[in-house]
Amino acid sequence: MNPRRRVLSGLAATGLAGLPAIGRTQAQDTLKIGLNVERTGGAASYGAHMLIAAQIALEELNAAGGVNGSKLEFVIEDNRSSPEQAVIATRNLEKAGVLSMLGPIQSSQCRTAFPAANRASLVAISPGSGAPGLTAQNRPWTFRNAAIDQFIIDELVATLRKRYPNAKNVVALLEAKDAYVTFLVKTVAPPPLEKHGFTIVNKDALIEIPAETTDYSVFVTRIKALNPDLVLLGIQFESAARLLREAQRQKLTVPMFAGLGYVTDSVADAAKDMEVWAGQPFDPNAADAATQGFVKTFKARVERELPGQYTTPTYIDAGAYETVRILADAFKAAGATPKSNPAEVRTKVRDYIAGLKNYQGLGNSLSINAEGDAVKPTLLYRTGGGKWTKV
Amino acid sequence: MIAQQLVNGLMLGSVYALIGIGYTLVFGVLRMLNLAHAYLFMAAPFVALSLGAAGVHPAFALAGGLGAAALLGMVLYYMAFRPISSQHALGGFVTSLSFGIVLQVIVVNRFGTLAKPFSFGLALPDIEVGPVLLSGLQAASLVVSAALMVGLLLLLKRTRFGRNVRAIAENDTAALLLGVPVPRNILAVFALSSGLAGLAGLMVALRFEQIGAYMGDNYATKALAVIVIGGLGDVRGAMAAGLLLGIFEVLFQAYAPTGWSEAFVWLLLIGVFLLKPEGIFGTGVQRREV
Repeated sequence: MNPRRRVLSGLAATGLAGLPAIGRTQAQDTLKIGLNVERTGGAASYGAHMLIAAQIALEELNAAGGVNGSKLEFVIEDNRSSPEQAVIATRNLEKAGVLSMLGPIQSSQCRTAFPAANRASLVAISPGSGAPGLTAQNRPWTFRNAAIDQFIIDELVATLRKRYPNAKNVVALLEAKDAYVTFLVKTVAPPPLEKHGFTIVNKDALIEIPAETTDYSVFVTRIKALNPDLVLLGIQFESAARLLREAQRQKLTVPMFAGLGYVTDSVADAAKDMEVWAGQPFDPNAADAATQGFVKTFKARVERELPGQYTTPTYIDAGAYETVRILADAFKAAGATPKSNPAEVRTKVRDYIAGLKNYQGLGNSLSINAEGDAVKPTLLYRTGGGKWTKV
Repeated sequence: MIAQQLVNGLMLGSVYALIGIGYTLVFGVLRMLNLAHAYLFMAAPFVALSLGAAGVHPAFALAGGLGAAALLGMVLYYMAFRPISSQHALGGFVTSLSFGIVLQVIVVNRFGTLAKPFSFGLALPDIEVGPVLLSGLQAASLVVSAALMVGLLLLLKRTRFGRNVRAIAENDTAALLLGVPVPRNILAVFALSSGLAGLAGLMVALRFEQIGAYMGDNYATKALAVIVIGGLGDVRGAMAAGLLLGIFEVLFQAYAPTGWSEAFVWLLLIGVFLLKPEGIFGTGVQRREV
């Protein structure tokens, strides 16, 4: 983002900050959970959906009487999808006296917010970050209730090999300013691709797509010229939806695959009958009542509050919902009340999360490993007919 | 691939040209940069989207978007330019940018920062010529840009309004002394210029079927480069510079080493500017003193 754009985005975001936000007005008799969330900027779509998921959990908990006789409340900080702002948001939340922090969503923001949370002795739990090692580097206060990209990509590539035994050439593209996708394309994906006999034909000349691109024709023409068997999408899902439309226009219909954050209605709609492969640790079609109830409520809320946006919850939304409930359990176990010493509660919450085993989440049973990451199932999905199907 | 990339570049350039033509008109008359131009480009599709959502027929919704951009351009003139002394070098620069930012904040608060689907079911079919594929809407954008350029040139050269505008561009005080209704003509220029920005925004929205509050940002700096390289106030120059910028941007993205395309585009612009500081055709409006 150029400096001028950054200033303008910031000013526009200021307008947003003036709006009544969920839980913005802080009461004195509540237990506060901080949300360090991407409300504006490149990941605003994830942030807007995640807020709804978290709010659903909050409302359910408060409707059931809250925790230890007190209602829960969110204190929301917009990190503007910016690593620098994510640090400021963390500091603001710590100063606001929150008992723990949900977020940021993306690894780029976690990379800076996690050390800040660790320094502030504040529990931080990301519902979306998938880059390996981020919590391990920031023990003992940081956690993730998401999935690790390496597991997803390893399994995805192995499945693609079985599905396309003769495929060899992979063309990779990426949004170079996005640290997460750069790590995915340059570090996470190459070893399993090589192991399974794929070659990234443009390894030394990756197709870089500026984040602000609207016209993808030049990039699709470049991909076509490289004659790929598969395309590795190192771009955000919204960009991918635009690229997929252009790919179909130019009759490029080879299978494509990506990391986390792709299993959205937007990508499936854009892909139509093209095959796009991705993974996530959440199945919105899981039969259990908790998942079905959450999915139904989430869809209705998104249709009402975010018309035109994807309505099926992603693993980020599911992770946020689960995390708010886990935090409520942790507050309960810690005996937290509005008058408790925040530092003492934070320590107890940290220990509770670190020791979490077999928590019944949405269609899964999760445990936190020694690195602070939730161990969750790896589920693979493929588009076709305008929808995602679990493989 | 090269033929397809040239077509891709031409199509992208047609959008730059369309924005640049409107942009350069205001500069030609006032000698002030209208930095709200890219925001009007963004506002028009949002107005059309709102009208469409309210059940207005797509054609009328799009026309409404266009009309709203023109109307906003007139409001812009009264709020951000007319009260500012023409002697103040950066006055209009600041007020128009402020106007644009306010417009963006209104859109952000009303529609959020997320991209909105923009589908009016008016997609033109693509045109295939051998291995080359032309986007129907972008081809239309190219034709519209060319037609508008010719129309604007005729308007400026052959009509009373055009003579008035040229007179104001050369010296507004002298024009006023000669009986030219200066404010009224400038207002019309703003409506025309802003309508062109709105038209460009609607074409982009229809082509990519998605709009966002920040969709104008990427075009803003490119359009600025287009009017400088094309020759400030020169409609033909803006058209040519827009097309050339689109073509070179795409060629650099296709063939330059990874990560360097953007730098090459701007280096090229510096080079062109150094070689032809008066603009591609060297016919930018010259201010004359009496």
